[in-house]
Amino acid sequence: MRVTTAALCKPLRQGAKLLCTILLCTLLTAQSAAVALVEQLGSADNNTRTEAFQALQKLRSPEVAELLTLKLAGMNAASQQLGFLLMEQQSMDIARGQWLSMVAADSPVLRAAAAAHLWRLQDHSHATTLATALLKIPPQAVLMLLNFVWGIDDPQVLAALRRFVARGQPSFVVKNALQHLIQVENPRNEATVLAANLLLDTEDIGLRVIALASLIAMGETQQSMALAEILIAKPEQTEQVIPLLLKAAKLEPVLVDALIQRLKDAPNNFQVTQIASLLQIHASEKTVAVLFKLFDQEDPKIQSAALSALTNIPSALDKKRLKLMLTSTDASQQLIAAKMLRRMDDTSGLPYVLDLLTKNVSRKTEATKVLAEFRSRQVGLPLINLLDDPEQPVREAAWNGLQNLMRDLFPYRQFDFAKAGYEPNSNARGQGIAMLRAWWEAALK
Amino acid sequence: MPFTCYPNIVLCAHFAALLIVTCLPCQALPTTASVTEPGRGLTRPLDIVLNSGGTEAIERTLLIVLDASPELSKANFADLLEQAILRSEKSLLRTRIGIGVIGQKGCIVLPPTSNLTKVVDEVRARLQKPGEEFQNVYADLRAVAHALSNTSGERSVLLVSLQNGDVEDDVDQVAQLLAKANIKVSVLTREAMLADSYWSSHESQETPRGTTLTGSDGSVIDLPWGFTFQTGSANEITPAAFPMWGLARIAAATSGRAFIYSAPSQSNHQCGNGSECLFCNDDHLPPDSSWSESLVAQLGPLAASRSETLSALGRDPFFRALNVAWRDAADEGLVHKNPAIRLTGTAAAVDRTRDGRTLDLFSATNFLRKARRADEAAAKALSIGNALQSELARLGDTASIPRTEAAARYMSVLLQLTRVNMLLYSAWCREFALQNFGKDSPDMLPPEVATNNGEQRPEGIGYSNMCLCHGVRPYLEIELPGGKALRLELEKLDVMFTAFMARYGKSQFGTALKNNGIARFWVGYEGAYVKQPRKRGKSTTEMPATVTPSRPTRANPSGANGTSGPTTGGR
Repeated sequence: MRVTTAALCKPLRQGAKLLCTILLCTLLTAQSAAVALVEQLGSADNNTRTEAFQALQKLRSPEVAELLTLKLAGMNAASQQLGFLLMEQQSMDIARGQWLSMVAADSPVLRAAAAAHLWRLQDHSHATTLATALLKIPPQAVLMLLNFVWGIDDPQVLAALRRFVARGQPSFVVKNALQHLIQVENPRNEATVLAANLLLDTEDIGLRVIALASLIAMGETQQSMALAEILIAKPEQTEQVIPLLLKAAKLEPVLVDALIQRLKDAPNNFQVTQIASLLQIHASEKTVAVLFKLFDQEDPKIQSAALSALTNIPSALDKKRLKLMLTSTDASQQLIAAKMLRRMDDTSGLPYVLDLLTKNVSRKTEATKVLAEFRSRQVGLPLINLLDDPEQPVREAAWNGLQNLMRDLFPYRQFDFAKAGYEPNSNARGQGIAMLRAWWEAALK
Repeated sequence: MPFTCYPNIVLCAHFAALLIVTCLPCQALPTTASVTEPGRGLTRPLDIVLNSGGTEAIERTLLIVLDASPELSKANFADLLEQAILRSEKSLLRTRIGIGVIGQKGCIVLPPTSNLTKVVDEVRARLQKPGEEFQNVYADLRAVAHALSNTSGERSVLLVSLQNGDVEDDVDQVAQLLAKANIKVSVLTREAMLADSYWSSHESQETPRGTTLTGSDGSVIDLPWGFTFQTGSANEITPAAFPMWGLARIAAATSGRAFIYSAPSQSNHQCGNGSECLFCNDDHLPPDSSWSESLVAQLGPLAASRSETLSALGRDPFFRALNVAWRDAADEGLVHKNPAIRLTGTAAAVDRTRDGRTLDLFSATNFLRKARRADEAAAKALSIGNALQSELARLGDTASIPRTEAAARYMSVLLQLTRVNMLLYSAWCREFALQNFGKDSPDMLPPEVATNNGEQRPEGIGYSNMCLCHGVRPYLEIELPGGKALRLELEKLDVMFTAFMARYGKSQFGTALKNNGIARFWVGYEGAYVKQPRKRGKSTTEMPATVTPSRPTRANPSGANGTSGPTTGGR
């Protein structure tokens, strides 16, 4: 039978046509999906918005950036924030193009966001646009924009930021703007000092403490007494001022005393961590003494925060004290002591950790993690035993720890841990554990 | 006149003179510790130089000589100078300040003036255009000496150079010239590396005409470097706590002070400086992380002239013992370079840096022959180490320069470490390489897998270092090639390491020892070998030669770039 070229080409042509149609359909489907998702992103409902955001993140299509450029102006502040996050995830070239097209938008929010992002891409030519747009943004978008301009040191932008340091602005906006200005301005700018000074006689106590703390951070230590008095009378204001005071080169004793008092009476573990991080710089000895007293508190979270804070202060926990803590009846103290001693090249805590794990302790996951950090052959078998623990987090910690331990103790051997057939989430763990045990015993022979 | 013809009295006088010269305590010479001020900031140096605490205004001329580097620009030097001038208003009433810029013709760009606003403006303007070129600051100081020699009142210079003290021409001649002109020179510079060997190991770097690159804290490299199986030289990454010798020398010779600046940075200890750590997750709290000021000062190098330093080293029994061991180690391939100091009689002289013997240990052929070669080298390390140790034991408490004793003891520990590495290598060739690349590679029990899939051909032998930040003892828990024999050598190393750290742990020498490591060997495969990029640039024939070569970036332990220098812990 003779087969003509035309006869051969026909099915090929049909096939190609079909392929093109499928591709076009896929493309159109993806496009329409992107359009729908961008619409959904602008929803007022938080769940709908978040779902759209997650789906768009997976889509990672350049056309998403184009669609966002068109739609962002009409969206609410929360949706805009998610939209900007999606834009940031685009490749640098695509993002640059979109930001450039947005820098001339009608919406001041879009203009400011675009100019700020272009600054980060080393295009500093839109600083004036950014500074003018910042002054026109609606109140609900201020905080988002302040985050975008973080670290930008252009004088016009800083001058615009100073306009937010004023009465009538919410305290979180003033705080954010001052934090930014203090961070960037080195040496301090007298205009910022003046702006903070103007807030001192406000009725708003929140604004007043922020202004006082900012002035102290900028070297105006004569404000210490005023701030200390407020913090003693209204200790709940302490949380506000710590991030600002962290920038202060020096804290006057009167302020240190007020903060020490607050540390003693800290209502939660968060405040212990926060205040201790500041006081350890300016009054480490006093801080250490208070942190030790916090061990007497009933709240285990406060005890734990005090211990963690102590570990951040060099020489706060000397070996003698740590060894004493090893013999404590509190598992948490024992574990911290064992870990700290190990970090100081002292492995005397290992037997205590091994002993803890034989008992039914509440902090078994933590104990497993501490155990796995010891580079000792004594650790291998206990970790293998913990691979079959009833609690999944313990098994996970043991499995991660065992892999690191084996790599470090046997640097000349190569492992493929997938071949062990062990999976901490699986119900059938026995075979994998048996294999690992066999390997371990053979290796130590 | 023949020797025998000397009258007895002349002979006696000669011997007496020789005896006096030999016994002269070296501490009579200035040390860098005696000229280096504490601190790492800019405020205090400016206050001291401007005499901000002084109540009496004396007539004087101060020339601030700037080596405008990017690091100095970043440090807000102009603002800090302005503030310091405001603080020193009273004491500066009769002071005229001028500005010099390194690399400018004649150096002085603003002649001394009483208009201090102009001075600050000039500094600000000059720091707008920082340069990265190699500059000979000593040549400019020579010009400054001539320019200031006719000024009335007290004459002083503040040289601010964070990167160029290592480009030397004739430092001693410049020091004498400045001293003769009664010019007190203070320097504000960066911290040097301990006996920095960087430029000795990068000899191809182009320099300005008539200069050599040095950069060590001492006038000569007095600490052995380039040990076999060390991935880098500890001398290139260990902070010295002192400035470069050339700048310290100028300050010492002119009764000036040396100030060290380092950019504020996170200075927490991080294990494995260029090597891997098996024992922690970057959370190590080493017990000797902060240095002892007095010990560091004791171990500082001399700030005397190079010839005086060589003369002192030539007379020092510990340095002589070190030099012999260093030379022997280079001859046996344990160290890559010979010492650049030659001993003659009771003196010493600068020598050409000659390469040591090269042991062919890195091609992946005939593992057994390589193992034998490493065994021989290990035996040599033992005999040289034993000889050095018995000499050190014999010398006991003999008076010496503390720094040379520390260097000799460091050498002793490094010889044992090199022996351990040689034995590890030999055992690795026998146990691992032969087993894994031989005809009958063993079956592995899961999850262990073979290091060689049998298809790839070994191309070469490589090594990395496992850090000594946690000491030697933890390695006794690690499975290493060599079995019991190696364990005994590790135990010996542990004893030596611990003894050294007990004495020198809180000093630059302790840090230097911990910047070495135990070698870990591996086989490189064809096509899998990746050439490491150079840390610093090197001019090639394709590139046109520049008149003033640019200073390439150099990595340092603080993580900052080469211009900022290291940051000493605990100071």
